[in-house]
Amino acid sequence: MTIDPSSVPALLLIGCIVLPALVYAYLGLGEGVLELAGVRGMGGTRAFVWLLIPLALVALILVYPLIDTILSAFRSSDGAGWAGFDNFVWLFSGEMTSVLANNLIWIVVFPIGTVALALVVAVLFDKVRYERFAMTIVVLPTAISFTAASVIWRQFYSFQPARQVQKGLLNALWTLIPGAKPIAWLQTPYLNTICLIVVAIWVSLGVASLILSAALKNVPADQLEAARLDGAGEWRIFFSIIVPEIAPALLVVATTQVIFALKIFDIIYVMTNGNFRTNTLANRMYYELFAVGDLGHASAIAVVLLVVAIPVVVLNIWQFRK
Amino acid sequence: MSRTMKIGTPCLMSAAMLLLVGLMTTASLAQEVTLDPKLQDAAVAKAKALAGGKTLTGSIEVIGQNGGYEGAITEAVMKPFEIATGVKIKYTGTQDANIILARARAGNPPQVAMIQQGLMIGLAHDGKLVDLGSFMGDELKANYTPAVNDTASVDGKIYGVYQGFSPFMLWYNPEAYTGPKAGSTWDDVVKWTDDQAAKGTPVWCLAQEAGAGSGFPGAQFLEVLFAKKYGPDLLREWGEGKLPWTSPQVKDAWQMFGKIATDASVDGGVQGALSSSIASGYDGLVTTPPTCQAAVWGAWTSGLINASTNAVKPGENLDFMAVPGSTPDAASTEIFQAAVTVAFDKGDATKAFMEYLASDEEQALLASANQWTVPNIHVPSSTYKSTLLKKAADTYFGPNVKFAAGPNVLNSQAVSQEFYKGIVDFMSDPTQLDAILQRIDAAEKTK
Repeated sequence: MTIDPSSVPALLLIGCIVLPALVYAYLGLGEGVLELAGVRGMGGTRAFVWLLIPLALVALILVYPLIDTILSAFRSSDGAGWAGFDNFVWLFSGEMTSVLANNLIWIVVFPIGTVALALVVAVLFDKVRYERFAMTIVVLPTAISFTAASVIWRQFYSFQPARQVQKGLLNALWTLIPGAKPIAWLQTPYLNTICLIVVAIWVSLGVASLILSAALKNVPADQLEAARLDGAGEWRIFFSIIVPEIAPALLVVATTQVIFALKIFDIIYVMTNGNFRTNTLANRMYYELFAVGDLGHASAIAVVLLVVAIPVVVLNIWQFRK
Repeated sequence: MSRTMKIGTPCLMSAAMLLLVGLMTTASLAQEVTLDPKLQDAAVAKAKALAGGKTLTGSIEVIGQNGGYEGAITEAVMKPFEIATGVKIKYTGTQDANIILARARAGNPPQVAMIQQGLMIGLAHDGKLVDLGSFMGDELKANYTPAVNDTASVDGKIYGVYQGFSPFMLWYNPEAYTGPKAGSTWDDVVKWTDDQAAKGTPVWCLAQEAGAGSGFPGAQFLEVLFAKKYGPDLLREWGEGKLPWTSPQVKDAWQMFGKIATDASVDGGVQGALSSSIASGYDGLVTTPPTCQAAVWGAWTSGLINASTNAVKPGENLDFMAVPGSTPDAASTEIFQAAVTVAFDKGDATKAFMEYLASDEEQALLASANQWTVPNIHVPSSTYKSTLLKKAADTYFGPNVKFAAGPNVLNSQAVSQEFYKGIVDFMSDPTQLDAILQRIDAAEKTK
């Protein structure tokens, strides 16, 4: 009897039994060799034996593709010859400048919008008895993929000419206003980018609110009480006590959203495919690699995204360690 | 447990539960497809016969371009094969053919895919497709005209089978249409458009919004104009990349399209056209009162409008005529839109499935869905419930009609995407035409 290695039972067998068994066998063998060699007590060597497999995986899955992508960024479209810095020159010139500008808008507006709204949600919900129910409503979109959310919001933003029945929720409500004409939400430059950012905020708000809500609840109650006793108003308490106390959480949320904004793809692809000046680097990278087949261009975009993301990631990790 | 966990965990769990209920409810409300039960039985019997006593097992993954209601039709006509053989058909509808290309390059293609001819040609040259002539050549020659088989062939080998095969026509509402009748010229149509625009009456429905594929209806319209002026040979040269996008002829076709796609001529203006979904953007032909009088699009238009409005009265508020030509010689050139179904796998189940898709019984079943015309010559026009599709089958599948392949079906993925984006950009700003054509030409040269 032959087993198709790509079948589900075979994959389950490999993933749940074979691989763990191999890892266990390797570790057992490693420990045995170390003991025979009399170096089992030496922490450094023993740690290396245990770390060898995960390091090999990291090298295979992370390091090798990274190096290959960086090299590809300096190669021609088919990867056969060298292109020097041509791909990067292309990336920072011509029509790509508008794509870069869109990414910049995303990097600024999306994190600010998410953090601000999440803070409002966390602060207000903390004051009501039905906090759990309210937070559930806010968290609900988190359970949906960005692609599904994009399909939903494409319907919300749907446009029909003025003389026809509006099938999109927003235009249906908007045209209830006397004299108001339907708005082409996704086809009007700049407005469409904001509309796309709204979708991203809608999906991201839940987790951001949970993080900030958790931080809020860790603000010492005695500090707040003392401030109130001293006559401080709620706004003063918010800006002088609460915000500084939850600043680490704010930074974590903000940096996480910046990283997300850098690689935004699915919302753009599903809703506009980059039309009407909404294109972003990740969407363009997809087009360059899978439609055009230009490995050089796609890799150059990937390298730039990586370079911009590194300081943000470092800041995020540093904040976690504090 | 911290207070945070007490709030966060139940919130997330409640959200997931609510979402699950929502999804299940939505799935149960999906639009149902109605097919002729007798034809369904015949299709099941045919599939059983094709299995020929062999035990077919497993599943076949099919990736196609149809989604929504059209995707439901596609799955429904495949169902008899599943019933007859027990082979599970897993269909995914997506407008993004890059998925098929990427998987083919990675050595992990689906067993069957429904793709454009341009992609088929590339995959055939790469040796990734099964030569259908090697096991079902006789059936293909018996069931389809040489012209149809030629469009699914590469270097003399047949690689594809058509499902819906749609010509393009000028759709109009007889109750409201005031334009030129059959036998007129395209110049007459343009003059009528301008006259109506001067009176403040936009006469064209020209919806373009289709997500990742926005702009493709306009691309097809433009190609019809080219075909009806410059003829099939130059159309093919354009599709194969031998006629540059920056050539005078191609530029002329864009400018002809531009004369239609104006704020005064299009329902909702240019922005309205760009913003209107193709699923409902042509409903204006049959609304009360109609918001447009004409549209140039494929044979699926009546089915699409009826699925959205349930208001189509064939011959009364919706009819069609051949698109008027610009020159007498080219006036009889017809373009078509059809995804060709190809196989990447030579397994018994896949072969039987491909034979089923080409069979008279499956094609008749597909015709009974009343969405597309089918190219199988043994499917009588009486199979179509819609008088409009009957008329299309009688008009366009006779022996004297010559279908011509152009960019619509021959383009690579990259060129197609640039073409569609180009339509969107051109409609937004016609002064960018030269830059747009250069961009598409550049994409053509990199393929």
